[in-house]
Amino acid sequence: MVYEPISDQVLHDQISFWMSQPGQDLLNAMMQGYDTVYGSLTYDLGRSMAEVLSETAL
Amino acid sequence: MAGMLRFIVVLLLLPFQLLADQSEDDRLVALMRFDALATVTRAEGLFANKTLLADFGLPADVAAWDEKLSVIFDHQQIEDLFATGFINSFNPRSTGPVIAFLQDPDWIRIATLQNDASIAMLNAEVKDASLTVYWDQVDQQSDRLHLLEDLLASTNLIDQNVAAALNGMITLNQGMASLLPDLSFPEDELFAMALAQEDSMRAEIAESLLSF
Repeated sequence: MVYEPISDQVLHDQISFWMSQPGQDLLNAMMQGYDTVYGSLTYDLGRSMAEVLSETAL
Repeated sequence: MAGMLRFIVVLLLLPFQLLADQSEDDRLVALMRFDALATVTRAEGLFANKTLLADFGLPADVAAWDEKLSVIFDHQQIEDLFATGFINSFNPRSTGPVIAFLQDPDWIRIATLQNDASIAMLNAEVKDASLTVYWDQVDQQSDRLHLLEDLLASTNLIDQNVAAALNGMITLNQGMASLLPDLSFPEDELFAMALAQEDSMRAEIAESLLSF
């Protein structure tokens, strides 16, 4: 598949939005979403590593 | 009496307000396309953590570890966590403009490109090619590169990713400590290690985001 590059004008518009109050509110909520996901998954990864080690030791 | 009436009216209208909020939350979640993001996160998680045990020098039953990864990176759980984290922290003052933005064809195209690019970057050849293009742009000091740097600065993405990576080291350790406290690092040592790596991590993340 061939993708068309995003135009400079669209990038300018994006920058304007992300610097606005709604953009900052959206970004903050997106980041909290990422934090929630990666916090949970990373904790589970660490716990699973410990489980594997426990099982190996047995 | 008038005060009591106003109180009753407010009570009667409250469920409608709650329903309206719920409906806007549902709309926001649908427009955020967490389903597609969960597909990407699962693919990245399975790929990036496949050799995690070996990377730590730990013995591994590869098939058993793959099975654990498949359970950890459960698509539905990831989608639900994205939605919960997002809605719990979204400031409703921006609901209208954000709903409009999320329906903008340019944003939909960018979000789709971002998801497709994330999957494509799991291929080493694609990743290498993106780095080559990035360094060409650096050599040329291109206007395009400056524009992308402005975009990253406007979203503070480099700092956010550095913080997430440092938090990740600590959270992984906490997960291990929950079962095998003796094998985990003391948190003060881990903080010191994480901070010592901050500069190199920042450079690596900036390169990765700009080439992406």
